[in-house]
Amino acid sequence: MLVIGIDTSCDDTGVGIVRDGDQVLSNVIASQHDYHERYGGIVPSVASRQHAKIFNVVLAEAVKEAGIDYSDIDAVAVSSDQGLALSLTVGVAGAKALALALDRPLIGIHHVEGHIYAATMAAEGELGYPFLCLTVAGGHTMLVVAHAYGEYELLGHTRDDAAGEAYDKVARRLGLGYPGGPVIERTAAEGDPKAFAFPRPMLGGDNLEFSFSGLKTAVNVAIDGIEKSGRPVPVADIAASFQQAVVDVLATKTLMAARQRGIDAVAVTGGVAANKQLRETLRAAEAAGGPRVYLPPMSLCVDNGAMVAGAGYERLKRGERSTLRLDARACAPLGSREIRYRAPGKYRHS
Amino acid sequence: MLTLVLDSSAAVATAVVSNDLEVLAVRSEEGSTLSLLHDLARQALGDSGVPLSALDMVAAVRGPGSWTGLHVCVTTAKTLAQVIDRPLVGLSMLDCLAYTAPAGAGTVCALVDAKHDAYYSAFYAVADGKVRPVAAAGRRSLPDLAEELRRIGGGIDVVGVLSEPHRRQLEHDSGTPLNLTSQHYPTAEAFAAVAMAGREAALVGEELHRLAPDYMQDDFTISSRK
Repeated sequence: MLVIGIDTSCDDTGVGIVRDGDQVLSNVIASQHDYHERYGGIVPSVASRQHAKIFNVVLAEAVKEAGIDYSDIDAVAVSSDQGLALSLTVGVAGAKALALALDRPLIGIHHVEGHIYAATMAAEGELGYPFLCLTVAGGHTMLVVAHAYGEYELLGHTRDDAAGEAYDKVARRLGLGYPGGPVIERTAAEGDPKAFAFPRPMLGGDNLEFSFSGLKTAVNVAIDGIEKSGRPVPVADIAASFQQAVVDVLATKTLMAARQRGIDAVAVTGGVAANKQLRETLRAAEAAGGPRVYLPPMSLCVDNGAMVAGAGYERLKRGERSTLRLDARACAPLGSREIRYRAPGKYRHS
Repeated sequence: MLTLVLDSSAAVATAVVSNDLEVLAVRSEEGSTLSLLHDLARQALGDSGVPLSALDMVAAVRGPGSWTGLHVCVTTAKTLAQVIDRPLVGLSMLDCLAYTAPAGAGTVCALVDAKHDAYYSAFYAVADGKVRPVAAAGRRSLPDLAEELRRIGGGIDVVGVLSEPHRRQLEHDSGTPLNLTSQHYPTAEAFAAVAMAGREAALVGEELHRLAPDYMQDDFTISSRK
């Protein structure tokens, strides 16, 4: 079954074509980083405009790259749940038009489910259920146990900012540009991760919740103090110390969760999964006898259409379908257990 | 020319299937335009008995109107045209409103609320069933709109939505009587007529990627903004 997947949930326009859930024929991603760099973060209205401008070009490119005709597509999957409302709207409108034009089934997917599914796509059958998934990006940070496809158990999530958002804000404060992940990582390579003792939020005890707002504030306070003293801001040292704090929290809680639940397979997905230090830390733990670690390639870690196509394939196999009345939901519960990991008021159908 | 016309620029989603100027089917519903538009298009096509593959052209209102609704409308039309490989034409909501004016209207002012005491507006001469623009479309503040009304003069029929306080202010400031028609939204016939009038400018092949909502066109929203 050839499924086309569409993701416009945030600031990347992604269209991917996947055969039978894991054979990626194309995965075209148009980044909007240049448009958001001047603001030091994603501006929803700008993101939506760019999706509207580029979506059809990306769609054409994905079909061309896959070497297929539109008529070869068997079904259409789209991130309809979770993301920026204006951005989701463009992808859902395009996906529904595609389904209408081709007279093919349509399935709406929870964006985070796409990220979780990406872990299994790249594992070539080695990653079976249940597995622990740390999915961490600019819009979410959560630890879930994937018991089966579509059945997730939430172990912990961020109570305020997502880790990726903290990267963006700290990068902006340091004048490093956008997106924060890659620029902090590059800058941190030149710095001393022990130069500043930034807090490791919520690391005490055995809880699996996250919080990055306080860490962000700690960085700001440190920079304020240095600036007031008239000394030059040690940008690389701050970047390295901040990154060390984030990685310590993410890796420690992930490994603790695996131990607590007796799970021997851990996957990391989402844009922050690209972080080399996080990957190396988890790999080192694996080498030291920890759980097996699955790290999808970058193209499946960032927001992309292929992961949505893969997740869509699984839902379609179960006979699930969306109608042409599918709407976009900026906040939606995840999976069959309807996990709610945002403030309750954010859910439209709570 | 078999045409599917889509509009979701306001709180209403509409799909019209037409053959030249003849309306074969129309479906229209108020609500979430993202939720409604595609299903209405499917229903209108079904009602008309015209399969999507038989269409000669796809048309969509490109503005002015609701930001989100225009994204929905334009993206949907572009994708349909792209997949079935048909020409695509973008329609002005102001033109569609003008074509809705009574046949003997004379001078017509089409209005779409731009909020903040401003209107997207355009002026037309309507005679013998023909609609001819007489002043450029743009976003006008109330004083600018009053000035334009005074310049054009005479009795002017208004199509679209104009609030009563604004009507009184415009009449007072321009000295021009305004006749508010009961038409606040284009008829299906008007959508079909504007699509036919625009067919020469239809985009084909990769050109269709250029269609964007009006608010994304600098010369419309920025240069005319006060």
